[in-house]
Amino acid sequence: MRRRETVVFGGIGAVLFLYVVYPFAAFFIGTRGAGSDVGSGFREAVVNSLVTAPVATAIATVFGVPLAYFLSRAEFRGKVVVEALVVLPLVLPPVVGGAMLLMGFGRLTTVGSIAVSMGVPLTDSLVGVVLAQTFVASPFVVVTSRAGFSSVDEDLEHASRTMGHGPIATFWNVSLPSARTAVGAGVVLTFARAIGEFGATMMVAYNPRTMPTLIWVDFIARGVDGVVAPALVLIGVSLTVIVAVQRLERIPRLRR
Amino acid sequence: MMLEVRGLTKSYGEETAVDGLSFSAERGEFVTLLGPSGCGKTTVLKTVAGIRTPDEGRVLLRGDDVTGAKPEERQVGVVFQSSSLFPRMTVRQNVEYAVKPHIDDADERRKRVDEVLDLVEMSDKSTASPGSLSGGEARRVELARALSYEPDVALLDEPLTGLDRALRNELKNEIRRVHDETGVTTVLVTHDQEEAISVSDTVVVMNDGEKEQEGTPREVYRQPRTRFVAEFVGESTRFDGVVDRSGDVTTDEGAKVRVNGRGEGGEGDEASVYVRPENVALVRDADVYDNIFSGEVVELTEMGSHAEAVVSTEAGDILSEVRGFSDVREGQKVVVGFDDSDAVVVADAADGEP
Repeated sequence: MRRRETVVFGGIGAVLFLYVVYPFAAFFIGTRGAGSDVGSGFREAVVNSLVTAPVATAIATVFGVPLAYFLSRAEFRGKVVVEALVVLPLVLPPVVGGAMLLMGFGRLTTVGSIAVSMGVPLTDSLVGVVLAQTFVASPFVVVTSRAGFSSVDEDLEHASRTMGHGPIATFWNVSLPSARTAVGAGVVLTFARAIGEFGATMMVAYNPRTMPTLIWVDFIARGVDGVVAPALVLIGVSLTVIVAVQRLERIPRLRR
Repeated sequence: MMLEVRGLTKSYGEETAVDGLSFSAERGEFVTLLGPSGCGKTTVLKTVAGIRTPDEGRVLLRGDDVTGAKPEERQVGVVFQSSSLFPRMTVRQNVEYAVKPHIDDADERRKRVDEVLDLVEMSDKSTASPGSLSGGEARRVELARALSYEPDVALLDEPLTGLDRALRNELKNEIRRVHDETGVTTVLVTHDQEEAISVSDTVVVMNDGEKEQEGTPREVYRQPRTRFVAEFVGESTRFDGVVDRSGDVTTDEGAKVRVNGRGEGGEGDEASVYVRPENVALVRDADVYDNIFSGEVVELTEMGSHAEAVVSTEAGDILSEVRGFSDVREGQKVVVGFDDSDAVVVADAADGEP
């Protein structure tokens, strides 16, 4: 980028960047020295978050990427409605999403009671956490991947087909690698949203604690000072995973 | 017959892209579908490849009806209009991927990849990524990839579009050479009549989803049967008029164009006469030609090897290719002449239009 562009775009972009960074700085400066001690259950919350968020991300990806591909290629009646429903969890306040999940999977519902009788309660359990995170975070991987697939020239897929590869092989070898950057970004966004998920999780599974729910509980009990340690860990863990995924996604795939 | 297309019809909503098109290609034949953009030629190609399903009509490969078969169930190699090399694979991997479903043995597969990359002279770029190739190189690799599994028919969709003139010529010859060496039945789609004329065995001229004319490049160029073909294939001067008693044509301006009695439509029919600029001479010696018109040069375009003059005459503007008259200039009074045998007559009865 030349100097002029650097000044114009960098300058304008810096406004938003500083706005986002400023609260971080204020938070850490204002609470300096307060965060060395952690409350009880901290370890457990970290482990819970590190288990549930990847699982929720995996579920959202395994089902969301095919859905994204389908939406990018298929034409059918009511497609607009399906597309709107897919992103609905994004506009819904998470607490409302949580309430809906309770209505659908709570202990008193048919589905919920069957699950309880099988020993896998869908609320106030890690499964409940995963349900909440998946519901709220999955639109990211679907929407981003869909945009990625839409920008893949269909003639690439046609070429693969004429060479004798079936639709599934074509998806794996051509469509998915070509949309890899977008899918990767969707996975990162979904994970970031899942690990920070609080609203819906609080409704569906207040216990066992994840990092966001623990932060809330500590905040109620001890004020801002109480949230420093778990918040730092949450930020650290999230950043590590996001950077790792981004790097992984950039490594050219080796085909043998 | 290697490829037969019978009565192909395909609509997109209200729009009819292809309307009852039939043509065929014998083993080893080089057929070109020639027509303006939007005439449905790409749709024909994609239907042959199995990427589009026709509304009506049949596609036969080696005599087998493959109309309903998926692309992977046919033996077709396609070079698409926009580069379709897989961006995440190297040149070699691109070709390997194409060969894989067809050859099980790894050694044999490697050998085949080497062969086809050699065929298009791209062996030294085998580890390059598609993004680093020039337009012409990418085309060569795509051609190699499409031929690597020895398909029944190679389908080339505007393979020279977007390349500069010199490269286009080079690659055109390359395509023909590769065709001759491999003997693969080839269907090329293009809007460029020069390309179609110079590279094919058979040209199918298309317009509005229908076949206008099918024939050798020579036939299509020298004996166009419809106004569309006469005007789309090559340059020419057009005289509109009425067929008179002698079978010649009297133009609307009252000039008589001798066509040696070939006004087939009969006396009184409206007809158009076409004559190619290379058959129109600027003359000093008037009486060697059947048709003579005097006029004035109103436009002179230098083409390098020759010049093209627009001569305004009593029969309208006539386009003439000027060779050897280095002193011709705009505003000059000249005489143009052409033989009746070089004039092409398209009468309304033959054109089929009202």
